[in-house]
Amino acid sequence: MILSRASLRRIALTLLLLSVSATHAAEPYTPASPDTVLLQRAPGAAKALRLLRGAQPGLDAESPLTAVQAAIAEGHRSGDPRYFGQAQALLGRAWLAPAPASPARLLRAMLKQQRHDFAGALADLDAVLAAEPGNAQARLVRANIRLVQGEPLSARGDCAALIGHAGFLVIATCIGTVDGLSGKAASAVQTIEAALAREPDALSGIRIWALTQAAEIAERLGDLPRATEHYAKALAEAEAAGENDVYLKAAHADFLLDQQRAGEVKATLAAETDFDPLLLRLALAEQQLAQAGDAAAKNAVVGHLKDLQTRFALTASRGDPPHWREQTMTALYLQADAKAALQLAQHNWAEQREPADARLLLSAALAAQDKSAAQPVLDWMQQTRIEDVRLQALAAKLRAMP
Amino acid sequence: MRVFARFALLLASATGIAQAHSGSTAYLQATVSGANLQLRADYALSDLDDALGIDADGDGQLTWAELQAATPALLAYLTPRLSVEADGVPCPLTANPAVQVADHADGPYAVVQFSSQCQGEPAEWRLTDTALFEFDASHRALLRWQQGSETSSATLSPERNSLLLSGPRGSQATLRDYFHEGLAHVWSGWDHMLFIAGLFLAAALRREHGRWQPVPRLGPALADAAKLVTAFTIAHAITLCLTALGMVSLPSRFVESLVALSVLFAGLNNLVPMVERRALFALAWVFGLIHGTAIAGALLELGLPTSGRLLALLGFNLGVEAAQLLLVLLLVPLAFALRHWRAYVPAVLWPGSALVALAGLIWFIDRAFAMEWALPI
Repeated sequence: MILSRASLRRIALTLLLLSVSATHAAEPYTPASPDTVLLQRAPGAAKALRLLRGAQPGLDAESPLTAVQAAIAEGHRSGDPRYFGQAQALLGRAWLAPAPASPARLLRAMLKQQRHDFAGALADLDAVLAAEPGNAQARLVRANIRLVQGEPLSARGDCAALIGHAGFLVIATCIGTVDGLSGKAASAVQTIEAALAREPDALSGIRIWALTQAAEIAERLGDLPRATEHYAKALAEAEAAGENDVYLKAAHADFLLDQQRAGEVKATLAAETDFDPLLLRLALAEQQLAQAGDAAAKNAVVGHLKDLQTRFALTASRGDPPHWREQTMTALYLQADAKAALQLAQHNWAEQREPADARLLLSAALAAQDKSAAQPVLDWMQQTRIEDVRLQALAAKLRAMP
Repeated sequence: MRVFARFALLLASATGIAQAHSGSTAYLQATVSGANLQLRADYALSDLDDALGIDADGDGQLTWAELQAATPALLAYLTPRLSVEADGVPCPLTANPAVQVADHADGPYAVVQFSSQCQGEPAEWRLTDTALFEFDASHRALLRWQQGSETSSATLSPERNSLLLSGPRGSQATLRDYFHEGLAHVWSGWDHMLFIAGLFLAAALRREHGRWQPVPRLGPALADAAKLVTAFTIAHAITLCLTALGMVSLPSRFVESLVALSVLFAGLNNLVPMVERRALFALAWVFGLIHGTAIAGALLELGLPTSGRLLALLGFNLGVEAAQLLLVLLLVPLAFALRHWRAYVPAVLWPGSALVALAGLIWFIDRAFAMEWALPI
């Protein structure tokens, strides 16, 4: 790089202010026929939310929060983050209030978590749990944030506190997830599997979550048949329930890509390009196919890389926080820019510390031949005693580096 | 427990990947010519459906007929929420009733065209857009403001939904910003510093009969050095502009290797003189061409503004030149003051040049063979 990084960043910022988003360029047209379908949406969802929003606040004290909850649920169901923005707008003054009542504060914490404002979310959750120690939702959300932050042991207390306040499958999955990240992975899978067998009629959302966790733990243990089975079940449950679980689909795509099964990824994600994480996995699949000699896939990678960059630029123009994980993967795998990938992976690691993030930082450090950059992850692995065959393999390679 | 059950979803879908794609975004494009303003506003159909209910039959399929049927409601909603002022005087916006469709990266949008005729030659405009913010706190409107040959862009948010815009100040700011970038490029970019150090370590010396001799006067030494850097800058400016405007394209690894070679050469030439002073101009010219391509490559990776970019490039090049001349003013008198010092050649010129050459060599190997060393450049 001829320019220093700092200089580049300054220029990038200035250019961004001046630059015209590529998406501004879309040409307007008049559709040919009145019957032309412009957009396909889930029937009913928008109307249901509109009706909830219209419900008079004050007539029923619960109704405004019901609309917030419905918007959050729709955001999870559809994978569309606009519903979280709508939920925030529905929260109204409670969004900025110093200490809203617990129900509103819990919803605010969930929205903050969604925006990766983990510190803000934890402050709200601490306050909610101080007032209501038995609030299972708050416990779960707080446990989840600590898991995302790579602190499984500090999540354990919240999982244990669920006993008596949540169903068996929820408790088992919460504890299993913690154990799966802290040196007891084999028994963790068994715990979750046993709980799944014991509660076959649990709500689909809970079952999908439990199956996803079981699949990921089995995957980290290197037990591919078991992971395959749980992923398949999780995907089938999500399909049946009409859930567009972007996290699950992305995790499954990564699982297949690791096994060089790019064809299957391409087939399942070809129509999912609206979602950045899935567009990225599609491009990665096409890259694998291109490396195997598929000429058409080679062009597709170029096009999809450009689309991804447009989306990242859009995120920046909007003033949203960057999607570090996707940007790291793009730089590392699609652009083979080891230096940029390492910087991005470090930013990502500062924000979230799941096994996938650890893997990215190790891979980027390896690609950039920068052993010391990997140290925080190596320390974290030792401290959590996480079992993950891919992380161990990367760590071994790094240790073998001169 | 019903509410709880829904929230258990959070654990499955919120870990790691929070934002599946960008949130609700609108695109505003304003074109100002004198007192006339044209405003194109694009709103996502999914946003409009959530807010106003475009899908009349609720079957999940938004048809063109449904959008046309909803157009009066859409315009009634937008009109009070979009407004323009010219020099503090409100100018009414008139909506074109023929709504169109545009396909943006994240789906189909409804396109509404507005126009407004204000008075006189407004110096300052204010654009306000409050649409959709009441429904979605993460909604953003990306504004592209075109006034004459100037284009600027800005983002409107719930906290900042009204913007002051003025034309001429924008271009000055661009020039100033990029002038600073040019300065910063020289001061923080090792390639420039090393190359210039290589050239000017010997600025106050002259080669005679195979030996270094001090030059008699400072003036000519300074003028010589200034001409050298100006030749470099002009060449630099030419390729920078050509490449940045997309007229020339060279592989960056090739160009960066050449830049490294030029640094190696500048250092070596002081140790084993290969070209005489006069030929240095030609070389500075050639190296300038190469450096210009290299920096343009880096600029291009970031995407240059489509409008105002000539001004941006001019500012950048002026900044580079100013920084280099400043270096000359600092280095050359210093070298001149030290020129009679017996140890200058063995203690400063040789080790300094050797260092420059070594840096160029290491850098060349790194670039040419893609070693990916963690170099500070």
